[in-house]
Amino acid sequence: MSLDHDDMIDRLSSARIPDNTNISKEEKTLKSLQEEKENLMIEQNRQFMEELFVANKSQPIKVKNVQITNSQNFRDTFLEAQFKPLLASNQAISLESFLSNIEKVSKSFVKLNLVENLLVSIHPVPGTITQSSIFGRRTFPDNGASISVVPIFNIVPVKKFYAKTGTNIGNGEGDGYIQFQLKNLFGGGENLIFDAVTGTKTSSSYLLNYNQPVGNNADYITENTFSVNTRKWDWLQADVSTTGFSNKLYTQFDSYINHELTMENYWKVLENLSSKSMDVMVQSGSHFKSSLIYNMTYDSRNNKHLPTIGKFFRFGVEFNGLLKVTTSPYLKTIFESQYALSLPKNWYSSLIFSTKSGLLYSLNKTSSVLDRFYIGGPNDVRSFTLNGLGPKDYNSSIGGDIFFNGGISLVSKIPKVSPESNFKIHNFINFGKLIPLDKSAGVLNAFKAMTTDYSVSCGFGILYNHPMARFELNFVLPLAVHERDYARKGLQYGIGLSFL
Amino acid sequence: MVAVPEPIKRVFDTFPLTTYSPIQSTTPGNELSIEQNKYYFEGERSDASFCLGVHNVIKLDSNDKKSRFIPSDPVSLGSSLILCYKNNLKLPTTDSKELQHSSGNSMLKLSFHAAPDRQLPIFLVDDEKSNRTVKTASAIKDAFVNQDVNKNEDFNVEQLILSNWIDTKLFDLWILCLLNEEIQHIDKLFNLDSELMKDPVPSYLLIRNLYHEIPNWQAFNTRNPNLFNHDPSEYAKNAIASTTIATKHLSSYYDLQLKELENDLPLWIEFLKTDVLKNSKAENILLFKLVGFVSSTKLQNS
Repeated sequence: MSLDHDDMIDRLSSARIPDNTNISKEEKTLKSLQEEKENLMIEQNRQFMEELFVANKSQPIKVKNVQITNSQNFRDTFLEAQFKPLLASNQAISLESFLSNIEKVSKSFVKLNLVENLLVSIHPVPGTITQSSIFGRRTFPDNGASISVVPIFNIVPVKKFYAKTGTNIGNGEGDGYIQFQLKNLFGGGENLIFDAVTGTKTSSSYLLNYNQPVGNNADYITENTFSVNTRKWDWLQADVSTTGFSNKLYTQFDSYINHELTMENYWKVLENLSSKSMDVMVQSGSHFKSSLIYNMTYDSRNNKHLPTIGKFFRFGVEFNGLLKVTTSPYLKTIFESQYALSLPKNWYSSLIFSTKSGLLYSLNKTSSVLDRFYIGGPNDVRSFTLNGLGPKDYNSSIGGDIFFNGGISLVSKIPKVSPESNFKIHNFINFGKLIPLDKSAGVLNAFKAMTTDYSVSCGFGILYNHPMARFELNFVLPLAVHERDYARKGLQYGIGLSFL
Repeated sequence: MVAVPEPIKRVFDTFPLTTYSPIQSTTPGNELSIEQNKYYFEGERSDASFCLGVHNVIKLDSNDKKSRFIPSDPVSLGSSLILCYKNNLKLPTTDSKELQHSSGNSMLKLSFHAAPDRQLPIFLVDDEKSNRTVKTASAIKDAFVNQDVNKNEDFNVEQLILSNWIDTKLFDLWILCLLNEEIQHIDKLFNLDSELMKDPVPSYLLIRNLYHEIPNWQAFNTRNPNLFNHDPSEYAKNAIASTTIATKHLSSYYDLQLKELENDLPLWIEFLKTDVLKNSKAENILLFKLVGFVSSTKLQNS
């Protein structure tokens, strides 16, 4: 999670309500009437355009050619591929299809982060329009045949070189970072990113990322990352240094379903700092990972951080053991779901149901502490410290192989505050359990153990849904715990992109 | 400090409402993977036990049909012998895992990354109440000598000087030897995975990682900063190519130290011939320390 501190302050400032204390009552009425009038005009315009398109949706349209401003930023082959939906056929198409193709092309530029601003104007070819109305030119052909048009894409391309520096804030953590980005490197949506981070949680991190669309198609992205980092795993009382490559191919379809295929090749070194756990000590040293990961997601939520409606599912499977050098081969599956439901409108509330589960099946005698699952924390099962649930060995949370956790959150508007406000009241119940997998007893036995004795917590608080992340300040209480769980009573602060 | 009001404290103390038994922390498979790295000393069992973390062990065949296991590096070998001497134990053998022979005390193969100071041996002591104490290499060294000086007055000044000479001079020579000599079986010495060592990339990374750390042991590089002004990956490249890996400064220093050893050794032999050691506990500890270096170096060469 990354937050540009300065940017956040700017955004918070711009969200402030204008100071109306010095305005008289009449002026306030006038202002609200003006706003009402403006809204009415916008609404009328929108309705008119909609009616016009609906009335003429079967109107034949022929695209003569497509024009784009600032085209020198792009390769010809790339532009050709982007405009293919508009130029694919010489035949006339309906207005509806034409508009959908315009949207498709525009989305491609936006998806690839190639434009800062994009405006499409449609110019009819002279001679194909005869009628006009009080609302402006109407598109009716003179001979009843198709109208020839030329769509012009007026774009403001993104800056080729971009560098930023700033701070990240997290749960009692702080990082400083510097980032360099070379965007649209070869004129086809290719990006090169270099990141360097140092801070409390991440001692050092360097990342070089190259990504580009596959075959000039904005729906398929390939991403190759080389990274070197050292992170503190406080729950293990150890440091983990990671060096290696990740090669990813993912989709960004407009539909709800998307896929991701990743190959990871990493060298990890577990360095014990102060753990007395035999697991940590025996597994300290070098680990080589070579894995293939597949993830499928279904996401119909209206907001990723704080949805009020929609569903989310993720199914992931990982096989570690592609190369002979793999030190801890395993199979891993993860299933995640979230369902957001809006309560009756005048309640200004929504319910969010979330669950996560995972199974790690080691192909060795035991799994590595670096591969195991860890649960608990302000973004996970609240009222427990970060990764404070599950097996412990001499005060180190050594992780487990099977877990199931979840929660129900009720998010409501704060009384006497606008329903549009990003501040909300939050009530929740969370549960979770994490156990090791005893292969000699069988997986079924482990599933049986997962049916009872869950650690449970509840609480309430306020949350702030920032466009980049979600902040929570909750009063939390553990209801049921296991001995050795690291429970927390009282206030707990959470920040992140994903919450239970 | 402001006291928490009693009603609030009572409410807080009510939670959690239910407490279950702890989640099991290990599995038979996990225990087996730990046990296969353990080598038990032979002797009488007690409620408390210790574990000496070492780089690797070497199997030594003997006439009594039992093979014995000794640590692969001189410091750990010396430490294991002293531990055996102090606790009336015998070195681990092929029979040690059988209950009637096992003392419950063991040697454990670990990576140097397991130690908080990245240096082995490491000493783990579990008391009767299963509380674990971790002693690092320098703490072990102190425990073997200094404790005796303070409490038992077992070591006199001359003996302390000899002990210090072994700990610094011979240890530095061991580090210099690692950095200067062509080490044929570095994987066996430091328990580097033989399967990984067959592959050029992991073997390079493992050896680079090891040679990056060796100069830090007992702050050798801090004490000799002028010897280390280059990239440790050079060592790794040379170590893989089985060539001499030292830089000019380092090899000159190594030669110098060897010459000093040649000068010092006759003096120490003279000293050992005197009755300063008086066949005491200190004498035996010093001898075990020396034996660690002599035997281990001999084993590496054979």
